[in-house]
Amino acid sequence: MADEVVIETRNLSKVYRDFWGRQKVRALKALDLNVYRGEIFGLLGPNGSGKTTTIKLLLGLIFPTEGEALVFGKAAADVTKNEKIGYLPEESYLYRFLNAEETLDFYGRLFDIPASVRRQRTQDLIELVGLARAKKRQLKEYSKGMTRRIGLAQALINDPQLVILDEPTSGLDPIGTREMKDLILRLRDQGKTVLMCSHRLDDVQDICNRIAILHQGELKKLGAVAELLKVREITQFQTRGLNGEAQREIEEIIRRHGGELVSRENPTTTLEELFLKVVQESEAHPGRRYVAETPQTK
Amino acid sequence: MQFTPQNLDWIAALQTWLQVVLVVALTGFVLGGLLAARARGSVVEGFSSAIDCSVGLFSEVVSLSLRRVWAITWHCMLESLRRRMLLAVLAVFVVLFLFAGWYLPSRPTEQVRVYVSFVLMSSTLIAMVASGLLACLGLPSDIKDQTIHTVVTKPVRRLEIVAGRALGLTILASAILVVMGLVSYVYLTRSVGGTISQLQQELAAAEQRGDVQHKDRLQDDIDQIRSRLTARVPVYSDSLEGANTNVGTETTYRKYIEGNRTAAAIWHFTGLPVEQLKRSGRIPLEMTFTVFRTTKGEIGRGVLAQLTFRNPKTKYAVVQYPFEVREYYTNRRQLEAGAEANLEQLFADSGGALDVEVRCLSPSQYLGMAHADLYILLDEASFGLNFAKGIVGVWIRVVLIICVAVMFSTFLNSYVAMLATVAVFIGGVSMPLLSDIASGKAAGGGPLEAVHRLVTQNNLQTPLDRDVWTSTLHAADKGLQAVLSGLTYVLPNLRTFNTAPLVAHGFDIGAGVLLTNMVMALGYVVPFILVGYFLFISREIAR
Repeated sequence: MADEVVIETRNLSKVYRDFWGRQKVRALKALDLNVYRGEIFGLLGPNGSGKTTTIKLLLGLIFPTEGEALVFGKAAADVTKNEKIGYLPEESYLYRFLNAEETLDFYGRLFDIPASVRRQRTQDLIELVGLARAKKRQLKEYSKGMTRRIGLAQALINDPQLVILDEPTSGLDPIGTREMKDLILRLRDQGKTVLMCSHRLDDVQDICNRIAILHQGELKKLGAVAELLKVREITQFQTRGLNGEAQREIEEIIRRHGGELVSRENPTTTLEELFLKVVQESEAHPGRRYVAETPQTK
Repeated sequence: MQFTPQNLDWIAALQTWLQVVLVVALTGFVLGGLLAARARGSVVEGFSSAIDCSVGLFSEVVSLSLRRVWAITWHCMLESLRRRMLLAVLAVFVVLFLFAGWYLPSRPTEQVRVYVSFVLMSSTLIAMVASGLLACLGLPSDIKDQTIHTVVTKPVRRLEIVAGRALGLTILASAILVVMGLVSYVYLTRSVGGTISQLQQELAAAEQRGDVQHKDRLQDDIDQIRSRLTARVPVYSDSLEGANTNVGTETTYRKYIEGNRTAAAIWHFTGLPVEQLKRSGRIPLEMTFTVFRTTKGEIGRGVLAQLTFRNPKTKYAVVQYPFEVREYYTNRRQLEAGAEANLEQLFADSGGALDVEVRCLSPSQYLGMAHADLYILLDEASFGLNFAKGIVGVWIRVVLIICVAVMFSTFLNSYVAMLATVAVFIGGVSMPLLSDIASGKAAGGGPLEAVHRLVTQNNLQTPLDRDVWTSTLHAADKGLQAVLSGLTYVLPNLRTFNTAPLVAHGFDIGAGVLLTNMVMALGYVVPFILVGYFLFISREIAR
């Protein structure tokens, strides 16, 4: 069911108060939002825009001042909804005295997963996030990237239907970032719903189906990424093999029809694509070095 | 050891418990509703969420998962072990014992009492401080480090978290106490065994020298130590009658009878195990009396007392020869069946009742006694087992402190939770004083009046001048006393759970005492856990 609502917020608002009950900040203002099953939904916004507050409200970590948040049709404060949720916090707040296996086993127990299933799933997830060689090391010895990976593994221990990811690519190198994005896409392909918030707009653009942009606690934009990014007043053609004369003719046609040529250039790839290509080539041809064709200038 | 034997009225205790729980629950509901109303900006919504919370408790209890509770328990234990808190605790314990001999009094007859009191008190304090610290640090650290976010976003109930933590710390404290108990027992038996061997050598030397007086003294000392290194099973009387004389401010615990007068103190026993006493052919008595002297008396001799055993129904009586009362010693006397007395006649138609009368025969001397100072020694049990029961007594108090600390840690930060737990501990061990202040029996008036007396250097007895200031003080004191009175119902009286004096004085901790203490402790543990749950569930974890 493509239109099945997984997350629903109605007039959701949050005011943070101090000890004496005085209003400190209005973090979220009347948020109305629906997230549907099987989509990757991105929450975007600058610092303090209300992204993390929204996620905390959905998870029942804080209580709304007004309005309501429903997850799988249940109130956010209802613990039973958590059985279908996997959550990766912004920082991987995990117990540093446990090793990877113990961490996953502990969280598996909290889902009441039987021991045999827990053991199997623990091993599968450790393999999936690439920590097999470090599974016996305590998390305090892990790098930030490794902590992020085990954090993701704990979020998936219950095979969740909804995965909530707070800055999923934070602290990851470009390869880890790509693997994380591929994994998120795989989760979507498995029919799971993903709600993520991120500062990295390129990540969101790459993988999200729909996004909501928040600013100062208010919803400013909501829709499909492709639709929102479309610049309707500009038409873009990409061609291959045109010579200079043909290009001049096309410019002439544009002028004749009252159009304005904004730019004419060769397309560029993304830095991420370039980086991955370089790494792949390096792995394929170890020892090959970059040699500058001309003296380097600043 | 000062106490008054009394039986617990279970029905009255249960009624009081239910009343207190009801009052606390209603107060919590109203306060919770008002706070929620302020947060939500609507009284209806506030009390509606308070009702939801209350009803939610039942669903939490029903859906409680032992696997999840055990996961939290195991996690809590692992955390404490990996952070090496237990090693630090045991190190403190070992260091304490290494140097204990330097500052503990070395009087042989008091050795068992002092050493048992020392090991049980140090075990109590170390276990309480360690587990209290762990409890106060646990949840607040999780909340501060935000590690709790990955826990509460799983389908784990808040009740499971609170119960799991309390259980984990209880298991840890139990392990600590088992280790400390074993070390203490070995330390105790080796130290006391060494003292007895030394006294026996001195006794043999005194015998060789023919020093009878010193030999008797040493034999008394050895007997005294051995009487402490056992677990006597006493049968206390129902009441004491006749000891009415107050000799002044020396003590209020014991009352006195005057010597060489008709005054007599009578202990009324009922429900004695007659058949058992008849089979043994004797009625063994133990007594601990004090003496108030108005003259020096006969130098080198104690005060004389005389025992009379009487059947309260038939008035058949057996009068014993006088004996010399030794102060600060456990005086042992027994009525032998046969030539001295006919036990059949003594217990004829009495239904297990017996009166034991004590007279002081020395003129101008006063014999001091309290209800618990005379008892029939029914049996002697193993000291080792009794020591283990003493450790169970320590365990009960530690568990109470753990639950209090866990409760506070659900809504306070570590430092404030520690302070609050220490306050409960101080209140718990000072319960008699707290009760006296709350009921207005304490000398010097209420708390504010006492401060006023301190500042103005007024003594405790002089009535204060009647003016507006003192009237205001008294009115404010009434309010404070009402609060204190409420606290006496809510705080656990940690003194009643303290069975260490029984072990130290060589008395058996009966199964009834242990069971009563456990049931009473449960009466506190369950409400503490539930209050902790309500406070935790009403808290915004991620603020």
